[in-house]
Amino acid sequence: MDEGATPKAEKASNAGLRKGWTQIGTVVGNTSTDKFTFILRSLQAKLGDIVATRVEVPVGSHGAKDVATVWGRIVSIDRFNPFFPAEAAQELADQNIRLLDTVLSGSRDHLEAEVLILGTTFGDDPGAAQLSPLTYPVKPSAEVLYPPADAVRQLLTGDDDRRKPTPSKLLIGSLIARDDVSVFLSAKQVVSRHLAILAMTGGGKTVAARRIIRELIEIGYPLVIFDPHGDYLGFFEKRALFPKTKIRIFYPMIRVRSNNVGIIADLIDKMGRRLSDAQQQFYSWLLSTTPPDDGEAATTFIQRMINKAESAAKKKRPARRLTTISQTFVGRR
Amino acid sequence: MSANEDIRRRIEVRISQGEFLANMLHVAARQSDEVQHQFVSKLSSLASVVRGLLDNNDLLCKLTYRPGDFWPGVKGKCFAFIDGGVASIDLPSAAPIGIRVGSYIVRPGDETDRRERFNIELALVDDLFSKTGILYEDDFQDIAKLRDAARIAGETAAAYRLTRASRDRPDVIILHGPLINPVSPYGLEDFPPFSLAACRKFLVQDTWQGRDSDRQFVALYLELLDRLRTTGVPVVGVVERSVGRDPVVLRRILDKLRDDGVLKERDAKDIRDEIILYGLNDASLLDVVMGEGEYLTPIPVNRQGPDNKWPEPWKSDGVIERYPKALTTYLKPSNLVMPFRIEAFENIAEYEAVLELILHTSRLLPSYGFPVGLDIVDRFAKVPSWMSRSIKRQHQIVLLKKALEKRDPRAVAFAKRVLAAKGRDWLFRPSA
Repeated sequence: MDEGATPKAEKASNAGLRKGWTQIGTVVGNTSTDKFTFILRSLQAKLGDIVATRVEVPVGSHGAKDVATVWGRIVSIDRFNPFFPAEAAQELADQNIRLLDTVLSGSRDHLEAEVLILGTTFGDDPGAAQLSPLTYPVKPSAEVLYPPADAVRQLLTGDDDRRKPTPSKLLIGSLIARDDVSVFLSAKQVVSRHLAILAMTGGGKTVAARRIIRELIEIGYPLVIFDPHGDYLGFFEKRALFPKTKIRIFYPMIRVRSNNVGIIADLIDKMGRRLSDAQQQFYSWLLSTTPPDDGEAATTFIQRMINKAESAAKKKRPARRLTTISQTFVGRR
Repeated sequence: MSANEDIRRRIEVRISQGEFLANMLHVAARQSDEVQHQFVSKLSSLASVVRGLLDNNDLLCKLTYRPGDFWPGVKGKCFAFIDGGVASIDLPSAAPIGIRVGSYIVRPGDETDRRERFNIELALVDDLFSKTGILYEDDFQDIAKLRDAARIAGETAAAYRLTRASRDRPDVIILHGPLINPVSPYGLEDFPPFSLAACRKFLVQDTWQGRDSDRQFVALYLELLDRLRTTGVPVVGVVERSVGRDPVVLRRILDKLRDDGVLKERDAKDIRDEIILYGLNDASLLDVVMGEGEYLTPIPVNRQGPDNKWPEPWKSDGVIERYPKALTTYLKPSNLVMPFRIEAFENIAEYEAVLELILHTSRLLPSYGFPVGLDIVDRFAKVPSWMSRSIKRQHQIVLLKKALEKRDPRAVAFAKRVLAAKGRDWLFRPSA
């Protein structure tokens, strides 16, 4: 920590930090500890990018200060050209002439980006410390920098890569705007704590969970998946991709007794296929002619019913209808 | 439709608009009931007379708006637009100046990166008129005039600078404002000279040596105009708003018609008096006289006013007399907008082509009706308030530092005043 940091010291510190960091803009307007706005140089960054700036913040006792690196994410970019009046656009359209053929200017776009501040680090090494909240607003006119992939990666992974042995990490993807920055979760944190994945419908909860599970499989964690909707059957179907891991699939055992024989009809209902009146009549006949053995497995009982139905069909009914019924039972088993 | 019907129609359209209404109010406040009641009909007949005079004496020309042909025809040419911005700095120092003159240079049809270039041709943050560069000790108190003089010289200097460029030398230069300004207000006896450094910057000549009198605005501006004129590059000034009620160009046209024997002395005087009686200036009368794309046949106008108002010693030295006349016209880009004044040197080449360029650039702003290149450079050169504050701060710091270094109690007291910036502060209580 640098008590009473001098401008010279700050300059030196900036120079060290900026090695390989590109200046992409300048902070403008009102700033706060939550967000700031900057004028972005053309095509130098995009929505979702992680950017950084430097600010002197008060620390510790009265008067002491230190230079912090402020990290943020671009959450919006507005583009406007103050030198291109709207009425000129109308005239160009009306007269069917190109802007380039006139004296109008089309090159002075202004890009104004809003940045949500994520936190700050101290010192030249972004991964050296935990990201802590910003306690003093960013300075208007400050340079905004585009950190190289290594710096962002180091910021996101902290000290993980320095420990020996390197802790297990789960690769879950890359930053939205920077595919050169991979994002990991700490495997230990995931398995030793609770984890909730929250998002709206279609937000990618299942995909994220699959990704985490895949990574956990890769590093050999034992897993039990309760999968009422069959979202994760793919792991079983493509188990050849995970030769080091044995993947097994378990179903619940349902037993049929004379007092709960209605469970078969409930299962058909839950599978979303209502029997037609004629099928219901045939089903009732099957039930009455195929009494369950007490405690018999539902699958065995259903198979017996199917056999019974098929033999009956051979005698009386066309084969097509029986196929439908047997598919109803067997195909969804 | 006859010319008279055209005029009547234009008056009807204008009747509720700002400039017209202002003229009517002007008449209402100053003239008799009869004049007030007859405002519209009198104006109509006056405009018809002027229109007739212009038509019958070949004093009106017309340009056709044909963007589809015009723009491809100027492909690759280089046009420069120039405007100056002045920082608003209020310090008790005499003449803190923050001026920058911007240029917008564009080549229509060029699809490379060279197509357009924005540049600050001149940026002066200085005590322009101070001899020492530290404290201004002169008695001249009209700061606005000092700034104006610096801006006018700066804009002309920027145009001159562009003509000397080896790259992107413009085919036409268009200035925002008059090309030739009246200089008498800046020729008063106690008007301070520019610093030597500022003069050298203006003249793009590091070795220039000038006496105090050469560094005075009146002499320096003439030098700049002469140098600019002799480059041969067509340079025009386009005046956005006509201020004042003196119909300078119409008076000059009436004088010419009188001198040519077209009008009798008395008739010319009657028309002139009537124009003045109704509070009309050139732009407001020509607005109803002229139609779309029309311009006055350019006429040389002496911008320096009557010589009895020229300040000594510039009058006796003959300096003001040597000022070039402004070849002046008014162009009305479309029926929607008022005509504006255009000034050039009398030796300008291809004046009609320049006017055609101005017409076509003005039509790109249909409802504003002013060359869009000047609108662009105006936005570019404007000194924003945040920059003015920085300039002020820089001035304060330099001033205080120099004052303390000099250990001059008077300078320190002055610096204190500058920093406190309020006259009735305890620091300035009269001592016993």
